[in-house]
Amino acid sequence: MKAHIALLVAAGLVAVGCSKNNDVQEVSPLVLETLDGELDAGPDAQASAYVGLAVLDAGAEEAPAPPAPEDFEESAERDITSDTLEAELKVLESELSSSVPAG
Amino acid sequence: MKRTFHIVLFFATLVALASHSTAQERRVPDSASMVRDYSQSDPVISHFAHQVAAGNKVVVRGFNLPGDAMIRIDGIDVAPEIREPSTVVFQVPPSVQGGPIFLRSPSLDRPLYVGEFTPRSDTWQAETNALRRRRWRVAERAWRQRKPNLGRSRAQRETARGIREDEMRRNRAERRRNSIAGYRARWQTNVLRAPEARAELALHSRRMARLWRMLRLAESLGRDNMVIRVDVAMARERQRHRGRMAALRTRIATR
Repeated sequence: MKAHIALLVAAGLVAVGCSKNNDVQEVSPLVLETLDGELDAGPDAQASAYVGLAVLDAGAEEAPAPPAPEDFEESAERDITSDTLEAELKVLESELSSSVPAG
Repeated sequence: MKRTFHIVLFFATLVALASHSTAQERRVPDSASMVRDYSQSDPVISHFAHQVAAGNKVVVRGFNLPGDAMIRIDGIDVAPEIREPSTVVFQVPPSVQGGPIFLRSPSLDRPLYVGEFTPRSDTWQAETNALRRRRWRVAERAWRQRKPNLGRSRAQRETARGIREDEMRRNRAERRRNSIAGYRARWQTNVLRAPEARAELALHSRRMARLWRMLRLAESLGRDNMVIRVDVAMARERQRHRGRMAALRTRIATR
């Protein structure tokens, strides 16, 4: 009986320990995709999301994992299709422009 | 009695494990709300027209730029003519011959470093035009060499793209680890920790991922002009990123 109770308590402690020991060190693309649906700050909200998570992780000794192009591949595939290709390229060309905006 | 207790113990363990996975799932909305707040307020500088003659206008491009932004250039405060979330335009005072540009706002904890302003040289326009033409020629030549290796028909090229993208999905985690290892090898920890450098890396990563997707699509559709435009945009983005990171590294090292 005592052994059973001890086992039960141990299982509970392990579960609580696991749930507390999961500080976000690297943001998985899966999490990012989930976040993406909730962000509403503009075309580069996803990029800003990474900066935000970096701030959450500021206590880590090593610098947190920087964002990589692979993190954005899934959303690129979703957003850019043969129908939206021209429009998406124009947006990027415009973002890269340094000319004075018209008007 | 003993059997009943074993059943209870079994279900208790299941509940404990379930609470563990629920705690992990809960983190997503919690992080999302914090990230959303941060992303709404955090401005990111993309680039600016740094070679402009005194008296002319400078364009600063970025995201989430504050609506009450003020510019300080070489120690002189200037009110911008245009303040938009993605664009700030201001006029360089005639007395300024170069120096650092900062974007200031009461909503910011500290001035946001834009970059170093250098007066435009006499040959600037000619150099810019030559660079533009050179980039186009290089992209055109590269596409001419690449094109015969892709399938002859559009269906063949699209099939090849599908296979390639499936492969990319499969090895994404490994490629991501390699990219991050590359960043860590290249940039010091204090650079990788700085919010503005991380913002720049995120911006560049996102743009490059989108440009690569555009390139694969344009190639499979056989749209020559678009392939070249994407290639030119990639070259511009790489150059912009190199310049921005170099400027940020210098600024982070000296503060």
